[in-house]
Amino acid sequence: MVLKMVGTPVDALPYLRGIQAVLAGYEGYTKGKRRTADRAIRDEIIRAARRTRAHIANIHDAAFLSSDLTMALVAKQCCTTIDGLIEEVAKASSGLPHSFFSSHRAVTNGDLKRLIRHDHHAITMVTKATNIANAAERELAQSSEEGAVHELVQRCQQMVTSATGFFSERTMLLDGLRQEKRGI
Amino acid sequence: MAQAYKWRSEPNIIARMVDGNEIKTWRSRNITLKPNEACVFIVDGQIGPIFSDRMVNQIGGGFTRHVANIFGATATDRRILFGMTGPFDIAIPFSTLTQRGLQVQGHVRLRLKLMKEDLPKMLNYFTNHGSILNRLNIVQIFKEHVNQRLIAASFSTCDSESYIRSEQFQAMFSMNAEALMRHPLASVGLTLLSAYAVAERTSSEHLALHRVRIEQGTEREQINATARQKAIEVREGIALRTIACEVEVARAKIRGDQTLEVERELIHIRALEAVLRSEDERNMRLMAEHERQKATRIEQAVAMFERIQSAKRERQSTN
Repeated sequence: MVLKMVGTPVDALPYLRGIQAVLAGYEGYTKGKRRTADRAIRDEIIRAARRTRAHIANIHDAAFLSSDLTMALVAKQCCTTIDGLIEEVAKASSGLPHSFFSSHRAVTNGDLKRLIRHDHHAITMVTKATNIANAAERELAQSSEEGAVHELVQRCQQMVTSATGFFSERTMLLDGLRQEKRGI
Repeated sequence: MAQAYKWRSEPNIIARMVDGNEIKTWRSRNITLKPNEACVFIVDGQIGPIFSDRMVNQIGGGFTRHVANIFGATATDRRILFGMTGPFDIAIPFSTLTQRGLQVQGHVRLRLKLMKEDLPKMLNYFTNHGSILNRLNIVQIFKEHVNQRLIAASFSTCDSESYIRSEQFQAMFSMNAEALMRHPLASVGLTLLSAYAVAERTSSEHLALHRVRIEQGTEREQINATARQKAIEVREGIALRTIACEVEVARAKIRGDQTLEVERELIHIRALEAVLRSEDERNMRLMAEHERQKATRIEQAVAMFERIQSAKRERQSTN
């Protein structure tokens, strides 16, 4: 089966630029670099998730050592959710054997656009979670309202859960590429 | 033809440091790293990129390195650090005392994970230990830390066995482990995912269990005895009822026999009565006939006498 040469869709350029802002060297799923791009995206999501986990872990420790068990429990649950995201991303499907989604049907501009947009959204979501976690730790350090940190940690957990769910859609996109187009 | 290299010979191995010179060969030697495996090259003391989820060609250098080695143009020290990045469990045994002096034995179950990016931190272990890190090694490294910092601290606040079995204790234990174990584990590149204590039965619990078993045994015996007694009562009732029925049947049978005899006698009497009545009727009829005949004869005699008298009177009158 012949693989069509597909360039990066113009519509996806803003997303591509957005990803390049956090992931230098990312060029979209250009031919020959598709597996690398996939790996880079997943590594970036894992890296951001680990940053988030580090912030939440600090909050957990601080809360536990100050006997704020409710806060510590919430932070622990958030850490568990982040671990789930990391595991999900690390063990996610990355296309077919041999070259990246090479065989079953030709990749179209629409496929690439969807993938790049999805990557951008996934990274944005995890980055948002990191920012929220960072804000939560800062709130804790500033000893502001007790409920504020609690709320931020829960928001972070919600964002990570959303990111996990959103990332799983990527498998569906890749699965779509694997399926042969059937003649009607 | 390329030879496949395998760094892991048994599932207990978590990480392994391989000296590149040991696998140096002029032939091509490849390794396929699965998604839960990672490796990092340390060449002349410098940490290289981390590989995972891919095939690494020429892990031993291959022919080019063989040639370069002849000319002394290769790195002098070349090590490869492999690690298993999937989550794994370890169990650390413990024996401690509670606040009230109760001895508790069991094990702490830690779920750990080696993040791919943390693989180079494993060098901290391999600096002072052998070339293989397995679960047992991890247990040995952290056994004392877990027992002294985590177990002793967690169980010293327990005042009852029920608290040890409670969810609150496990949550506290987990959070305590998270706070106390993170940094020691991170020093060798491991991340703690979850922790919980598995306490065996304490002596008090054994005693309570024994008491409950004895009570249950006694209760069971009581229930069995009651059931047996009820069964005996039922059997006794059935036997009595059977006897009563048999007596009733016998009585009925006797009553039935007497009735039959009486009826038979009655029939006989009635037959006799009928015979007697018929005889009586016959006698009555015979007597009536006899009387009628007697009356007829008297009437005939009287008529004859009358005729004689009339004849006599006629004769007298005629005379």
